Amino acid sequence: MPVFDVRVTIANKQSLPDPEGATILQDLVRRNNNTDVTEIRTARLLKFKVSAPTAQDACKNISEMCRELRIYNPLVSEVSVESD
Amino acid sequence: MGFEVEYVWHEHRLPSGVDLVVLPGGFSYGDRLRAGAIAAHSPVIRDIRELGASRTPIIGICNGFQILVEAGLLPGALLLNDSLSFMCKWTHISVENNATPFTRLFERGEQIHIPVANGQGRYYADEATMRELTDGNQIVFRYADDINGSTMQIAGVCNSERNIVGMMPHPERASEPEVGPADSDASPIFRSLLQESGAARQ
Repeated sequence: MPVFDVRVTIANKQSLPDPEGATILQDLVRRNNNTDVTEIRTARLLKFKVSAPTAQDACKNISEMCRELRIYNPLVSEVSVESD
Repeated sequence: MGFEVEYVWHEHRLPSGVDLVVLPGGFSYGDRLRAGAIAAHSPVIRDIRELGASRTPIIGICNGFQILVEAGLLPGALLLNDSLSFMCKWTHISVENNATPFTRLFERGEQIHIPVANGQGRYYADEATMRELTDGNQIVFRYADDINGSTMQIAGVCNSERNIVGMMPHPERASEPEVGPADSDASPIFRSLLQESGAARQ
């Protein structure tokens, strides 16, 4: 069975403040005159290698696993799952 | 205090006849993924879940609170402090609900001088969860000041049946004069438990 790279990105929901992103924006990016940048949101990236019949199956299996094991907290996080 | 106490390794099962469970603070799995997220799947949690459903008193302190939240036994989430830093300081909390097995010896509104020590201690509840907490009188402790950005300055909550309580501050570090300032006394949390479990009969 082929092995696929699956990337899971976990970020705070947009409705939640992201103090880390805000600090990077205020104290590094904008302080150094990059005034065209208006927002930075941080996220966590998990990279899986998974065997599955197709890339679509790989994404589906990983999505289900992430939900079952609460790899992300649905109350505060949104998640995206993608494969090449 | 009159308890017969047994430490249980998280990969083992709980012994039978347990009157109450304390999930202490510290770190589990180095807070990897999120504080408490991996320990929430430890084998012992299955037994804690069953005990919780049968109304056995369970208290989670600091990392214990984070584990109970991640296991879905308490509502909400615990996020990085606003400061993004580990916070270790003495603070004041008030008792918002004294109708739990852990707070019955307090007056409602009573202040406790108590330490906090955590990195991911900012309690978060969305609107729906806040409604649930408010309607069910599930907010147990609140900080007197906004120390970390917690929703409604919440320091501790309970489940709707009120037998499971979680709190970020450390009552065990504020219950003996040897380790805390003279005006700190969180020992009623443990004495309430003794009364609840009947262990005080000794």
